[in-house]
Amino acid sequence: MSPDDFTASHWYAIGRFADFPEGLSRPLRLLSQDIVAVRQGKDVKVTRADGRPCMVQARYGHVWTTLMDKPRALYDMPEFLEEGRRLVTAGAIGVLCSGLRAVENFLDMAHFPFVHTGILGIEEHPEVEKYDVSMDAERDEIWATKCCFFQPMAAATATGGQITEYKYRVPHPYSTILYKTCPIREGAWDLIGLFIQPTEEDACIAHSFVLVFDESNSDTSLLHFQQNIFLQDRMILENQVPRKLPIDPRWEMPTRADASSIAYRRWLKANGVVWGTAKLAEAA
Amino acid sequence: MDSVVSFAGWMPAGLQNAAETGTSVRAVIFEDDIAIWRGQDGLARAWQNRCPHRGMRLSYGIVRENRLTCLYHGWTYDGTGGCAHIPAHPDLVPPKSIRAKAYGCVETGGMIWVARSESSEPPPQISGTWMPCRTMQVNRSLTGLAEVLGTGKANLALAMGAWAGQLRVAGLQGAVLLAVQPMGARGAMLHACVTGPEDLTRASDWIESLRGHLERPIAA
Repeated sequence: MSPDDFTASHWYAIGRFADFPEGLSRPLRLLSQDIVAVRQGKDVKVTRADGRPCMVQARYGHVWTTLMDKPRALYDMPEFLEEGRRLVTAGAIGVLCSGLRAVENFLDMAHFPFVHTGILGIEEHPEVEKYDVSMDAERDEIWATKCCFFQPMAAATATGGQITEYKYRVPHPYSTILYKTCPIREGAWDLIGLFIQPTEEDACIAHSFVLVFDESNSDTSLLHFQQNIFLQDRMILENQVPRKLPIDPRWEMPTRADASSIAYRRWLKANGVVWGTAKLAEAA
Repeated sequence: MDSVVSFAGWMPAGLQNAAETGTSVRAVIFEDDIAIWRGQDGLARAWQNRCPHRGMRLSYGIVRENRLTCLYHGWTYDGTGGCAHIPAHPDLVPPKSIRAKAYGCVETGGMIWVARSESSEPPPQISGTWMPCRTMQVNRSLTGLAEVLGTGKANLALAMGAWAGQLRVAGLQGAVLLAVQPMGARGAMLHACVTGPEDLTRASDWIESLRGHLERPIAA
């Protein structure tokens, strides 16, 4: 199945600049198509199987490409221009599920006590308080705000349990960014995000990053923290049935804590997203 | 003994000891993905292997008392499949409409048997005492016990339907109860039970050789 127009119209991260060593052709998959990326000096060139070039840009520490000749603009993240932040990338991790499932899992707080036990949640504090979900109509993106959750060890810099406040942003069907209260800088937010490269309808590569104010943890310890969390998520993501995201509301049963997931599925549906989603006829 | 064990009816889904008390395990029968779990009451239950909430496999779930908790969000189901607790909303009484989809599940002949809930076939009843011996995965699609044993030997089996039968194996004191759990393109599981501990080792060797025989490459 070829991607729907909305899915096809976006830019996708395919790796960090350093992932493309000079002269080495790297065959990649994007939206069920073969592409080849090769570094040429300061640029990475991307071509399709038939040799036609794809547009490329370098942003947010990653190389982005698109299969469209006239893609929509890549969203802005002004935090990348702020002084004093550190960018740490935590690798490209292949996951056998639709990238849409991976975004939805990222938006979810209710799993913290069960999947990230002792780190992002504990079973004694499982409650998800009401939070706000809104659509930014101008930028066509979703925000979930006032998300509060008890966390025993919210970040690599945290030293004890606390109620952590989150904001989530979904500016792209395959990108999501978490804004988390910074434990060491009053009023500031640390960013954690996923740039997902959907390789097939039911398989993806997650490029994750953190953009934080943090002077005490090494890059390696930040990376280990993120990878530990993500590998816990991967075990879930690869065991959700079906691997594609069901967007028909009759199929999977949500509750109040799933407000952001409900908004995400509605937004995908309103934008005509079909690629990567499961049809009700496929239900067991 | 009832003879219909096609998937319109009852199918072998594993040896009894594959689902120990307090655990949940996965069984695949053709395209059906099934979670089998055993509560502290000793009863085995078979459910569709997906949480109604977000599709997580319930075979990864946690068994406490006689309830199964989904690993993903802790949604907890009572022994009949009804959702009893949603931790994200501790004060909410879950709507009755939230239910795990249950299969029929019985244990007889040292094995666990499941049937789709809409099946009206009576459950199998295998007489005698059977001891779980061994399960082998076979990398070959199988369409029944006759195919496992070969046409020449199929009549050796006292058939209990297309997927299970009782047979004599040279060197064993008692009989072997052999069942085939078809997994479509994933191959099949062979389950063997014996009548007593004296046959465990030899029956285990026999089922290994049976697998070797079934997995031999066949010239086109």
